[in-house]
Amino acid sequence: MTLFRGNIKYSDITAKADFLNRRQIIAGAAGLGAASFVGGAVQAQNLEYSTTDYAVNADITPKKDATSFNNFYEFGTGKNDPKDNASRMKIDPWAVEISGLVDNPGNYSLEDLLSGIALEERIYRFRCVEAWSMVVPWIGFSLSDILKRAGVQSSAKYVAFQTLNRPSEMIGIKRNPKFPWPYVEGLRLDEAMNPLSMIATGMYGESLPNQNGAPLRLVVPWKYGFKSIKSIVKITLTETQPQTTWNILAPKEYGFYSNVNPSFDHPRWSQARERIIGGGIFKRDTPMFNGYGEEVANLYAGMDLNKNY
Amino acid sequence: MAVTKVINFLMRKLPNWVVYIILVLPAVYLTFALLGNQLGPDPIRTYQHKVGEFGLKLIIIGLFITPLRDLFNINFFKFRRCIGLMAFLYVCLHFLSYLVLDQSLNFNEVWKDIVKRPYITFGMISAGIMLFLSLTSNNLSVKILGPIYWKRLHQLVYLVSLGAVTHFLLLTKAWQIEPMIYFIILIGLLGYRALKAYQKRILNKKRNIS
Ligand code: HEM
Repeated sequence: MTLFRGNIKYSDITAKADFLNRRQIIAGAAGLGAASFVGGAVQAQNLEYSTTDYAVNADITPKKDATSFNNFYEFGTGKNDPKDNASRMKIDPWAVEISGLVDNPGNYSLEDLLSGIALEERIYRFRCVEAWSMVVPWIGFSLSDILKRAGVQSSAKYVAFQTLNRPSEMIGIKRNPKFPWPYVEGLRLDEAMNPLSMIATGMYGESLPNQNGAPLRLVVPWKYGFKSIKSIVKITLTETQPQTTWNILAPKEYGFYSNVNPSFDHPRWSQARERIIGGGIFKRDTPMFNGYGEEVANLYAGMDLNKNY
Repeated sequence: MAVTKVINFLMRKLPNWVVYIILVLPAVYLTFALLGNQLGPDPIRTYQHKVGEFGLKLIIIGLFITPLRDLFNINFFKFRRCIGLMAFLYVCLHFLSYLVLDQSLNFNEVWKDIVKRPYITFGMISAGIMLFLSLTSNNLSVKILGPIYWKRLHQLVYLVSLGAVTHFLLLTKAWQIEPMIYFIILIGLLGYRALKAYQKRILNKKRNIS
């Protein structure tokens, strides 16, 4: 009986032959842009990136689990729904509108947005508010890179994000019209400028699968997963605290900050421990700020995090 | 009707132990799959949800037996005890998975949960009553309590079913259709009984007058 898995690297999980095979397919299709369609399904593209010291010392979640166990309500509320339904989302062409208190507002194509930006791999722990966690090798860059480029004005205090809202390609929106679409999230500016905050365009060495938020998403590892908004189409710098979707839906359960905090329970379940996705039947204690306290605790000095949850 | 006759005939022939085995098989399968890490990316939740839903389904199926006989002359009465006890088995596994895997036998945390979280409170009340009903689901208990008191006691299953569906309704994160469906079916089943009791009262009154 295997109660938990040993040390597996994600490159070991895909059979070698399979792996090589895919590389060849990708090499052949590389000229076709951000993503190419092969037989209706989106084909992942291998990415070039450097490695970094951002690497939690833990087993990486099997890729199969990280790409099939997802919350992305635009594609349905079931954990498998995003994988089953997200291939219909067209991610090429893609544009991101940068607006609000910036010097260079505009509607940027993905290519423009990413041009000249070097990708790097960061292995972060990802903690969902539902008390489970994964360890994911993201590929991307610091959020501050593009904010600096946009020219943040001194009056800006917050960053607001918005997910694509395209019902014709997102069945979860059609099924659930009462949900306050589009999905929106936000960070305080100093949180957004923290080096840990990243924009991911890939994971496991390849471009992001649609269900994981292609073509670009936020990853804020010391906050609950729903803060890490997917498939971003709009970034707005604001002076006032932006609205966030789960806070609109259930303000007593989900606050603006939503920092991982084991001593502050969700009303319906404890946050003290977490289930490890793909890791068997033993749980793990959840550390404050998901283990990133050294990097971020100073952002909240003097704040009562049980009030500002 | 011919169909009812055939069904009732088959039910008379079907031994109880066969139904016990059929109903216990999913529990055995799920438990082995859990211990062998074959339940997918989130095995604790998957197990907990599956056995919880099995338990709830069996409680609801048990409540269908009386109306099926009253309205369609289909008789499953022989399996009532079996279905009730098997429902309790699944609820036990459900509770055990919570106690052992979620809480690592930390009774202090469990108690805090029961007091603090209404969905756990409702689940506990239902499971607690089921323990009582299961302990008295034998011929000796019927004899000791007498058929009238025994029946009264076992009518607590209405409370069990309401508690279990409330438990389900309270625990979902966003609006979800499944617990609503259980709720509507349960309202039908309990409404039927309320109606029957009301009719009986009126009949009794008429009889007393004449
Ligand atoms: C008659 C007794 C009970 C029944 C019929 C029942 C049934 C259920 C059902 C149907 C679900 C949801 C499954 C799904 O979402 O697919 C559930 C979830 C759950 N139940 Fe129960 N339950 C009972 C008692 C209890 C008790 C006594 C406890 C613990 C003290 C408990 C703890 C839980 C937990 C922790 C969950 C999962 C919550 C989550 O997903 O976050 N249940 N139960």
